[in-house]
Amino acid sequence: MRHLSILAAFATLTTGAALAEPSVEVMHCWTSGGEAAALGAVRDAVVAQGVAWIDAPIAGGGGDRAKTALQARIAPGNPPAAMLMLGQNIIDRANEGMLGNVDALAAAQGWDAVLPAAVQEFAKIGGHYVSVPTIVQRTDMMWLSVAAFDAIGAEYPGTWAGFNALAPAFEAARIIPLAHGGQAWQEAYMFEAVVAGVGGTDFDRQALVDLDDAALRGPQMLDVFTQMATLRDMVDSNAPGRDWNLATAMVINGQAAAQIMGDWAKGEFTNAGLVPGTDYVCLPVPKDQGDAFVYLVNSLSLFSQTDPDQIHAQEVLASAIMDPAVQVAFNIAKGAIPARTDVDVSGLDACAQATLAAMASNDAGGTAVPTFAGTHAANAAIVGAATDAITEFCNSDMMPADGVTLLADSIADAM
Amino acid sequence: MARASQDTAVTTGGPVRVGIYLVLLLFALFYMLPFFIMLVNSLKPLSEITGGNMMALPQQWTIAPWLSAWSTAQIGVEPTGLRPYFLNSILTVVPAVAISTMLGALNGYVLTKWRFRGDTILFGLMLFSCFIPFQIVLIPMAMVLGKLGLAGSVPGLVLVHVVYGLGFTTLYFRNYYAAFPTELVRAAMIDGAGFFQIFWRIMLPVSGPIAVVSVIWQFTNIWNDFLFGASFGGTAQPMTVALNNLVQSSTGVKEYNVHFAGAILAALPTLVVYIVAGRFFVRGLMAGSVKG
Repeated sequence: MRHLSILAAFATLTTGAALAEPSVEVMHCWTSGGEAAALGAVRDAVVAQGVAWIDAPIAGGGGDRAKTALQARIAPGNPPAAMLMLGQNIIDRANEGMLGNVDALAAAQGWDAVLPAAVQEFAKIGGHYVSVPTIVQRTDMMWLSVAAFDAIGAEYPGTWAGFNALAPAFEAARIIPLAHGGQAWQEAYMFEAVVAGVGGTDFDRQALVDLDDAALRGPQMLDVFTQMATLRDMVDSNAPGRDWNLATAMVINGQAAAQIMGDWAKGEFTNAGLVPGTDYVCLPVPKDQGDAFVYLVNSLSLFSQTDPDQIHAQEVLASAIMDPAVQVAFNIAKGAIPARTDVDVSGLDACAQATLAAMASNDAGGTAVPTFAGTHAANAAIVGAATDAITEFCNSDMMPADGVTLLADSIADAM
Repeated sequence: MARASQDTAVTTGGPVRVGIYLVLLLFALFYMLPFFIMLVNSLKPLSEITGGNMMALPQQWTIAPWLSAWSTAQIGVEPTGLRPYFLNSILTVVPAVAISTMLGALNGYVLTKWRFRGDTILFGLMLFSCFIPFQIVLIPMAMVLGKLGLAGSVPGLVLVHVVYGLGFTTLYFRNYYAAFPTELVRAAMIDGAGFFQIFWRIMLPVSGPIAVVSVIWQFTNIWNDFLFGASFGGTAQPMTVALNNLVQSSTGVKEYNVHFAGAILAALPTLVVYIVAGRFFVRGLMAGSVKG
């Protein structure tokens, strides 16, 4: 009898308490101030509907550690309800059949009409909505210090040649022309900004999305690498290994004139109390070949579940993410632009509104290109090989022609 | 002037002593420098850190980063700080260390005092487990925990650490008990003591040194473990995972002073354990190496 009661006690301990209310477990790598506050907006909406939010944050490695933890969850057949995944990762998981979909909800709420085609490419895979987009970020942006430009009395550059011409003037005034963090991923983002700016949308698609060998070895790529070499000379000697936010700090302090970085840099300016237009200027990088917009979609992908409670909880989550009020709150906290096109944007600052307008016009004109450095245009293996080649070019005295060959060979080997 | 005695092996004169101490001091300063930078920068407001010199003492002393790291810093969506994860770590480490040490002692006792055919091979296989990298165990362990229904909970994590640490603790205790005279055990058996009685009343009381070794080793490894915590933690994530989330913000704001404070808080328990019990570590390992 004694043994039986001990056994019963042990059994209850190990089976654990079954949660009476539905819950959604979200795995992500947004653990810092602004990002976490943004996700908190979604959490509040979900909790208000009576669904518990189980947070599973694992930061680091650009999402690599979260992927390892995900593997440990998939193996016993217990994936989380939702996970923050980027680009090709979503497509791979969808093709493996691991993602569930919220098509019924999407049809009822009319998502097709309010999401730009560019965003739908990474939310609706194979005709099913497997991922719910939260925000869109622009990666080909340039952040300029008003103080630095006033010091030499120059206009903001509209072309790459114009920007290059300003560099000697900055150096004479003891201002670093380009603030840069010498880390591989930063150099990859800078590279794709230059490709879009120097080569234009069509070239960007051929080279980085279609991975056409002729385009990768062609004269336009040579121009891209020549411009990269010029940028390489504008960078100060302390750049290697520098974190991106320390480079932004250099622009904030007026020590440097410009930084080429995605729009997450805006958070640093806002935290330092700077006003767009007055203290700093946010511009897309100079576009020599017509307008282009390099975008990155952040979305929560839904893993397929069998328990009807779980499915209902996922739908609540999806609904909360696409709620216009939540989208606005999310973006004010994070500093990006909402995925939906029909939200009230009066609360967003001037930079975000300009980016939103650019997204709309580029999406309509077909000149919005998915990010290469953010593994939207190509998978992680190819992006990794290309990044190795780009960072080698940036950290050596390599001639542009050699850089072209190295990049093309690396991508060909990775395919 | 030091003379040759039981404690010193070599005589050294005054100037040589000074030289030795000078070199030791230089090395100590060199190795303490990163800790000094962490400590000093954790007491500054963020504006001082982004503005200037890492090595300078704070112009404005503040313990706000420490309070923030402990209870209000953003770890994921909730601004909970490290405190709840600290408790998770303690809940995981204490049972895991206790169970793996006890089982290791029992294993060592059996392998040395109750010999049977194939016991050396068995010991060799257990030793083999010391060399298995964490990553290989990851997926199989995930499946086992899933089947047992322990995935994502503290008991599951304790089980993982006990299983993984058993090879090491068995090694320590087995080698320690091998030097223990078997005649005492035989005498106890003649006096009528049973298996567990001999264990409790003869073996364990003299196992002080090696138990300390085992506890320090297991404590340090389990406290510092990240991979198992991240993969099997679920809702009971240990403090290493929280610390990683605190300091690794890929595209968000980096509060370096809070990160430093968090890192020091995370390292404090292992530091305390070593300061308190460290001298027993080498003593325990060396126990029985010199006869008489």
